[in-house]
Amino acid sequence: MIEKVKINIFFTVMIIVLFLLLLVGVSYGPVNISIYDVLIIFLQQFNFLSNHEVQEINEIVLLNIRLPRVILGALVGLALGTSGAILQGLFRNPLVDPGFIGVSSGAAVGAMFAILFTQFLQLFFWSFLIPFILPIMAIIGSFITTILVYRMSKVESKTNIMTMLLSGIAVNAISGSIIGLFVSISSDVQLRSFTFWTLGGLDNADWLVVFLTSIFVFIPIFFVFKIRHELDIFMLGDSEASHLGLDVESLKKKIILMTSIMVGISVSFCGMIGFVGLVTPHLVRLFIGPKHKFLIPGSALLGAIILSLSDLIAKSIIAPAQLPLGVITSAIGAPFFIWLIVNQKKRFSYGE
Amino acid sequence: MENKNLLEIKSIFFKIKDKVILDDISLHVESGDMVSIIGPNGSGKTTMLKAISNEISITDGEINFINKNISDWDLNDFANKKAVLSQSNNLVFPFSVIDIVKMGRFPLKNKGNQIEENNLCKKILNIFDLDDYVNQNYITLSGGEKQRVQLARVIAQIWSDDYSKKILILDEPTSYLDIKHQHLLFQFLKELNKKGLTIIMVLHDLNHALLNSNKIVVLKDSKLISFGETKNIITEELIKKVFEIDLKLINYKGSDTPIIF
Repeated sequence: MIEKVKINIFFTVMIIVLFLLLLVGVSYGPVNISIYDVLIIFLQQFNFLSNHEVQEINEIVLLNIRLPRVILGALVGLALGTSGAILQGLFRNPLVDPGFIGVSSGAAVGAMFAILFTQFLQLFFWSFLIPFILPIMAIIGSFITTILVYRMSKVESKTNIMTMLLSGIAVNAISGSIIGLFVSISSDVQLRSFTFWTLGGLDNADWLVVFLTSIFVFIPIFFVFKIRHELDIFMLGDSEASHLGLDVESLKKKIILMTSIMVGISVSFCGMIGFVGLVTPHLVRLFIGPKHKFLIPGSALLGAIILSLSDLIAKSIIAPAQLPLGVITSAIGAPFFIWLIVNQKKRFSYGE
Repeated sequence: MENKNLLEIKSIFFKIKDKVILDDISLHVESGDMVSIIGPNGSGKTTMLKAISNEISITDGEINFINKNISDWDLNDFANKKAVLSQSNNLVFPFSVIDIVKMGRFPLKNKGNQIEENNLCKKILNIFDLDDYVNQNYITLSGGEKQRVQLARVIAQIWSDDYSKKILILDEPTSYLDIKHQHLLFQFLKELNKKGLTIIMVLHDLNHALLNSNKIVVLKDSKLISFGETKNIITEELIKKVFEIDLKLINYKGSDTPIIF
């Protein structure tokens, strides 16, 4: 009973906080739009209000710049939080982040590949698929790296922390060298967009990007939520889960595919944003426990909150200029990671 | 084909590269048997259980469960017929004790309502003396408590009204348990066995094996040394041959099962 109340409070607070952050996010920026004006503009859009005087420039900024940016931030947060949660489940290890194990850099390689060879790739895609080339290549990149690191770090039914991190370093190094190669053969315009990937940001946001991202985020989240009970059972261990009738290998493939889609889409439009996938599921487990029924929506919501908050900080700390988003998430996430390591020293020494 | 054989193991081999781990083992388990597998370390006991539970695929031979090759069983159907307690422990996330026991009910397609399921799980926790741990975080438990939770999960999986075609496979169920909980465990297992449940377990304590099984499988160096009714096969010579130590068998106060010391 107390448990249920706790969970209800958690989700209510999360939703309210996210809503407030989104509201502040659209109102704050180089051109300040008061929250009152924001509400007026929204109400006018849905024809609830008319004849209210709001500066036209504010309306354009809000609807075409701020709103897609804020929504994209929330979507990417949903994706990173969820993929962090299920990746930690796959590795049965709470220290996994899509960034550490090379999933993100794999996606970046895929995305850069798509940009460098756009003309070449266009020959292979039907014309209606062309806007999808970038995300699809990023998804393929992250899919390959996830499988690689998973295969390398698996020892019996557990993944060993050491081998996992080492495989991550190796895969990141390979991606890094490919990225270096791409940078040196790219044109000036391409180069500018490449530096953006390594630091991350929401500057690419427009309604098309928001539309594409929402497809590649909501479908995987919905699917992952559907297999929530299987994910719980999987936590017991490979053989225990299969003794309970779970097709373990197929579940692993589903996790890897869903993570790759979510991380791939995030990286392809917003670059590498570290630590959100690590921090989020941890905090959620701390509050409402490890059951995926709550962990998945909880991580998605908290991921969106952390990302929206980070974007707000990135916009305000050296206003009117802005910091890359990845800098902020790392600044928040890295100390948290250090705290985790110190706290989990005991687990590290358990013969692993 | 005779139907009383629940499990038939026909000359199975298991090899990893050139190392032979199970060497031409054949035996059959009848419905209602309570079988102990004994043998020195590295004799292939755990591998044998893994073969029976279809966790590893054998190199050669055949294992049939209810007249059907175990590799032909649908995963979920098989999970409704057998439950397995292994020695591994992989849980790193802070699930509560009751959540873990409820996971044992995962294979069931037609569950009762939630309250009934909850009560059943609590009842099973009570059997394993875990009343005070229902909502506790599994990670924080001691080794013996964790073992009891895992036992409770496995029992939750096998729990039903009809045990006649079900099998419970236990790898060293007494590990980490103190003497009281060992006693409670065997008492409960015998109760289930009386209701018709077939049980196969690896045991280290020979006296546990003698007192709690009607048949015994003796393995040594990957080979089957002996298999049969407990009373008929356990002799001082056999124990000397298998474990390479001299032990005496005595019958305590007129009991017909001997104990070893």
